[in-house]
Amino acid sequence: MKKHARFWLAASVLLSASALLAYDVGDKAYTKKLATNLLEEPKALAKPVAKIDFAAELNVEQVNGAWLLVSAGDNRGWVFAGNVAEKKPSDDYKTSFLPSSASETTASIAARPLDEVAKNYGDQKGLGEAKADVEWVEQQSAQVDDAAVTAYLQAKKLGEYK
Amino acid sequence: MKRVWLVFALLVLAAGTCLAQFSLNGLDPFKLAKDAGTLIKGVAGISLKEENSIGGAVAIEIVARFGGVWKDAAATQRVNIVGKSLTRYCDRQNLDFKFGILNSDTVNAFSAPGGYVFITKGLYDLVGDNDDQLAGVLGHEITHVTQRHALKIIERGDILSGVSSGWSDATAARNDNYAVFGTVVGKGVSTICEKGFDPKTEYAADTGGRALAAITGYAPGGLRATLIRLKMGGTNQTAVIFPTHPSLDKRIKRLPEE
Repeated sequence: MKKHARFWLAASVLLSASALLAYDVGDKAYTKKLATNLLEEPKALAKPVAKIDFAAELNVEQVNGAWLLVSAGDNRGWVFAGNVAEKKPSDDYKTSFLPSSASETTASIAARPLDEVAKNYGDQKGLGEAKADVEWVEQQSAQVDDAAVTAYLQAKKLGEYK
Repeated sequence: MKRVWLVFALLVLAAGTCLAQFSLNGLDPFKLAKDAGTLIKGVAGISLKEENSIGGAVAIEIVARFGGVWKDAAATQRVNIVGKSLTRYCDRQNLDFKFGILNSDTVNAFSAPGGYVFITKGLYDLVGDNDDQLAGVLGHEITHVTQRHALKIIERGDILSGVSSGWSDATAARNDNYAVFGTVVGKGVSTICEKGFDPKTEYAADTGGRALAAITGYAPGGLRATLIRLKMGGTNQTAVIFPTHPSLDKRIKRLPEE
């Protein structure tokens, strides 16, 4: 019984997610990550068949749950709907991406720490304690890096790992 | 031409008056007049660098107003893992989101430009170990950030339009003109903590947060369930719950049951 309940819960979440997706065959979608892999199959760990640049236009050819079969020029493959956007992202964003490789981002330092202007603002307003608290949050947050998030998504079967 | 200067002078005067309620130690709000050329020049939009400056300062103000940060590492890690799972699929992948818990028993949540998201300890306790409800709340706040709701208000502010344009041209940030910067931050804090967003903006954050939770794989009804729990909390609780938001009834009605 418990097994059935779990199945229906998972099915209803999946159906709800599909229902929330705004994509239909013939729609356009846009890449929003610095590089987006198109995959051979609608599975997170499937073989990549193409790598698409930021803010590229994709044609939606098929919808399978939360996965889209898309094409861009000569490239064609599957992409998780959460990895694309309905609207074209601002081109300005491309120059402001954070380094994503582990070698460039350590777990003990915030990837983008509290801005110097904000720090000075806190000091000038006598909010040094609150400033230190925000920095504590940043340190805690930095420990949850990309690898930890991927491991969590995989373990919980969330996002593209469902 | 004279009229343009008159309007400009009034703008500077208005900004000074505004700053009287938002005092910055040792700074002269009327220093703005020295930056007349910059203010007239103006620049459309707020860059990411400026967004991070404003967001960091707004985050400091939020923390100061709500009892500081609750330094429970395990709880903070949990909020970050759920929050960052959601932001993996949000529409602004160039932001560095941070999630913290405010040491306050009130039940509320806030976000600041640049990716700062806070929930109060009261709200953290209310959702308990239910990740779907936590994701619903965080998704709502993440959507405020990705859709630049606070920044849009700063950019279109009546009195501040000239001031924020001048600031975005960077004199404030780079030449220590914190009078201008303080005005911009004050506008953000006032919107986020006091006046609140208009109902249309809140509904957009509800819809966006629900969609983000769903695509990440959380139950899409998490936010709605949290709002229902808030409503059932009774008068004493709802008096301090999201005082800046539209009524809970209206928000619950607008969200699908699942």
